[in-house]
Amino acid sequence: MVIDKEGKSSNVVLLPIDGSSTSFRALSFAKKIAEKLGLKIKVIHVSENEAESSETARKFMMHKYELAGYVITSRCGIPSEVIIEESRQSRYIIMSSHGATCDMSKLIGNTTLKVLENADIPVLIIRPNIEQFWLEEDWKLNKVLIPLNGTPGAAKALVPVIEMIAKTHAEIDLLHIATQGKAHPAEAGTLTSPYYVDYPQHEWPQWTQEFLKRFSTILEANHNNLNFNLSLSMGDPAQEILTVAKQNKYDLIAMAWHGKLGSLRAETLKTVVFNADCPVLLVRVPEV
Amino acid sequence: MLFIADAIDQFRNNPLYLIKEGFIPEHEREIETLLAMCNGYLGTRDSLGEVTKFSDPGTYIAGLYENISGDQYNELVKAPNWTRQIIYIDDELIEISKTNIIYHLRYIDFTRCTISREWKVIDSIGRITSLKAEKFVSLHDKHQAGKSLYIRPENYCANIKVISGIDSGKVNDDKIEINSHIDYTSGIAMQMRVKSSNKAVFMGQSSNFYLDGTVINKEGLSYEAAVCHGDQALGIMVHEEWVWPAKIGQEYEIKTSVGIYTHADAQNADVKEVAKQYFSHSDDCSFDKSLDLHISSWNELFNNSRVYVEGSIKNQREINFSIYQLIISGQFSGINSSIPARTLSGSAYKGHVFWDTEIYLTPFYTYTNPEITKNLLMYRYNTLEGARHNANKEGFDGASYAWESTDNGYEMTPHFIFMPNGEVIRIFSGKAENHISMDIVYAIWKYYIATEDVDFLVNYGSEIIFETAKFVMSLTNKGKDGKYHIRSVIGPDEYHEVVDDNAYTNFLARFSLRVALKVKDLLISQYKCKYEELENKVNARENDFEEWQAVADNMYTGIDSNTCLIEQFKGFFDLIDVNLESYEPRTAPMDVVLGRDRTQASKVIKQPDALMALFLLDDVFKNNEIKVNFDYYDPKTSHGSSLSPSIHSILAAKCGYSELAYKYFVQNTEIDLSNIMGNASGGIHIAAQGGVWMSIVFGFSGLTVFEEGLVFSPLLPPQWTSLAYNLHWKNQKLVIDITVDSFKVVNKGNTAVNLSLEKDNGIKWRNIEPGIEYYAIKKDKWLWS
Repeated sequence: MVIDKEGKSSNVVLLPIDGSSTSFRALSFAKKIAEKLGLKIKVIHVSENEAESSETARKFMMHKYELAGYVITSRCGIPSEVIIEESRQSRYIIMSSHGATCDMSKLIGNTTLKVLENADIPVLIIRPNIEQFWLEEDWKLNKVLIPLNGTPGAAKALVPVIEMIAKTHAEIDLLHIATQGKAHPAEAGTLTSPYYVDYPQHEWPQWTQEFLKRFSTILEANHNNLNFNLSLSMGDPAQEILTVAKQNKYDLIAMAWHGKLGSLRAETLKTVVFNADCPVLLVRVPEV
Repeated sequence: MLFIADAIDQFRNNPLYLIKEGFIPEHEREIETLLAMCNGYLGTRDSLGEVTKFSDPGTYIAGLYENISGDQYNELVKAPNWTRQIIYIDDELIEISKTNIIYHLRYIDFTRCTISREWKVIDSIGRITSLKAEKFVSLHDKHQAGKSLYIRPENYCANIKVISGIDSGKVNDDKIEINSHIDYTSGIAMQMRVKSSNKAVFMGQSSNFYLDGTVINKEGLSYEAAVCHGDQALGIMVHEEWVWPAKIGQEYEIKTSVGIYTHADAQNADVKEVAKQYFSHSDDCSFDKSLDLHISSWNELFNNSRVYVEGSIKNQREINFSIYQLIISGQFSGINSSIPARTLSGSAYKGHVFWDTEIYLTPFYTYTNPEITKNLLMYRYNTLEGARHNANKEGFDGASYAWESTDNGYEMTPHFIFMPNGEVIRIFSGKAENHISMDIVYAIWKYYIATEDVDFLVNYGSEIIFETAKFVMSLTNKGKDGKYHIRSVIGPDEYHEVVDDNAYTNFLARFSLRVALKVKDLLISQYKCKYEELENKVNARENDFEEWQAVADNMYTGIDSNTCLIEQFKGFFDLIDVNLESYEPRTAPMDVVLGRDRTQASKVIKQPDALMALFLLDDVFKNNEIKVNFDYYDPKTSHGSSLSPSIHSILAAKCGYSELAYKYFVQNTEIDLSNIMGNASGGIHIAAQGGVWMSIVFGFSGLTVFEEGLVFSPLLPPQWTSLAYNLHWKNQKLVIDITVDSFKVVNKGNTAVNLSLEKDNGIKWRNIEPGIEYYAIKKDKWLWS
């Protein structure tokens, strides 16, 4: 996130569009978020050659009323690299999970993957086949689901996300998923579900209290009195997130992630993005 | 002023210091617990003096329970926080999460039993300050505590302001009343009163200010005693405040002695007056004198119960930590209160007392400082009326001790729990985990055997034992097989609720009846008056005793006479096998992984149950019988309780599995001390700390206690080269020294005791005479030289 000399963060929402109808799906979400947070939308189109650029300009004209009033920039270059460069002057990126090729055999398109992997700011991903409900209805940020793996690093990475949610007064539900088959994270300050439950009648309320205290203190950062709820589930993280999100009709899933997004990596993240009914806001945990 | 930060590498390798370096906000509440100060009467979390948003300060007084939450369950009342220390340089607040830190560390000093904080900060304009705070809760006088603050400006001259006080915190105004007192000439004070019951806590403090080691009169300083609300105070805060023009390189210190009393100490007198009298003897309770007496008491206690291992500095430090926790939790505990399962270091479990005390803590006290065990058992005697009430309420005879007990002995176990996944679960422990009464009888008998304290057994223990026998009798029914059965109970393995013929319960029930019959014989033969008194009070007659004998002789135990395998409860062998290894690694207990219904239908065990009976009654089982059961149950035990690894460590050692025993030992030491588990924030798992001592003494040195004497079968883990500790037995102090292939014992008392190094093939007792060094070496078997 860019902080200017007066300490103010950027007021730009970056909306990368490749001219495809799938990429335009992100527009309505960008509009609502920008409006709610008082931010400006910067539409960025990146083409790999000049010819493609003129074609996109033609497509943009088809959306001229939708795009009226926004800064529209067109640049040549490798799309993901240009988007990352532009993101250094932005607060959020909002983009479709797939672009013009719309290769739905991939959970997330190549450009989006590279943006996710390199962006230092939260990226809101809209999948092309998102429930029509979200596009037609007046999408409001009333309920947000935040899965937390119990590491302080992930919670810290989500602070910019909370900055956004705090302004919408949305209800925030934290979800911790107990796992098996994975070792306990080695990060100091981690709190996963309790391994020892001597007396469940006391241990679970105590654990809930500690989890909320520990992570709400981090997440709140500069806000006071945000209300967080916590629930616990067990099983495959992606499936649990999707099930809980579907059952409770969340408007947004916000997740922190770390590592790489290559083949067979970050399957939880990709599965959630590809299958969630609602948009998914992703933020990368910086490597220590 | 000694700063260990100046030689930190040296101190990091010194097992007499447990050091927590840096400041990790997420760890804060765990560190507050680990470094909590306690003396069994009061406990205070090690919150930072300035209190940050990550802090959860708390002082708890043993036995001070009240129904604060508005539900039907008593909980420990949080008392005011006496550790507040707030520092300003000019107007800049020194606050750990906001000020730049050059270094910051906190530690337990096991040579002094004090909690220290050393930090060096650089403020917004580059002023560097070295600071050190030291706190203690006295092991010499249960009412005393102390805090000091040392300040040295390193590169500046400026006004420094220190506020040191007692903060009421965020009290529940509907239930709690706070009164402040600042009219003392020698200090300030605060009274906290529970409105509904007149239970009260009174805290006062008085301080001295030192410049380069010389006390400065208050008249020579800008000093003020006041009450404030808001700003840095969390609630109402009575405080002393100093402002002075500090000079570069000069050393300033504020030493504060704190006194804490309750309504119970004052009896019918006004608690304020009692405290006032205490402070009028200011010389007796000055910080330096209190601290010296505290350190002296600590050294005596620590040296008496210290365990030495060679081979691992890390293990030595962990053992020191466990013994430290056991000493500070036990010192002034008992009589009218007991040691909560999470001690007085946190609010978890609402400060309730469980079987942890009798089964996991009293062994340490019985064999190192038996007076503590006696006091803890006196708490059970003093809550016997509550236990009678519980039995009567459930339609049983005798006395049924509360699974969760507070000050009155009434059952305090919640009936339901709301899980974080939204599930509502019924809790049966309060009704069905009946073994708690038998566990208390077990602890009484072991205490009596170890100390020969007939006075306690006859005048107090016997009543508990008889009432428990009556309770056990009303639990048992004779079956068609001619055996006596106990149905619908919960054993230690709470994954299988409301089962029939739980082996642990039945073995302990039989044990309790046999103890009752022994005590009956003792009373009839030597204490006839007491017997007659009890006969009437408990209503136990000759024909009752015959029935006790019949039940004890014919109790169903579930043991297979051919294989020696014990069925944990009726039907256990028919349950579904689960390969626990296939679920590793995991971050959740198995009942969460599998779900409650699948867990209940499986052979997955939460913690040792049949094995627990074998551990407690290892004087009646041979090691090969223990091994058969350990080999069967160990792979089925998921260790879903902090009470589990220590027992498996002991039994693995008894079976000759030294590596496995060590693995469980390490797992147990990490329950509170691990940096990544997050277990400790609500308070110390004191049973796990007791388990550390037990796994050393009963496990690695292989102690089995017989009524006639002690048997050792040492098996050190490969990581250790030697082990040494003291043991109190029959009022004698034994010094035990073990290496991989040698065993040495010296009786420091004045009467010979029996000891053996062979358990299973006919015990040959060796008379250990006072003052003589007995030495044995290990060949194929242990040989005395």
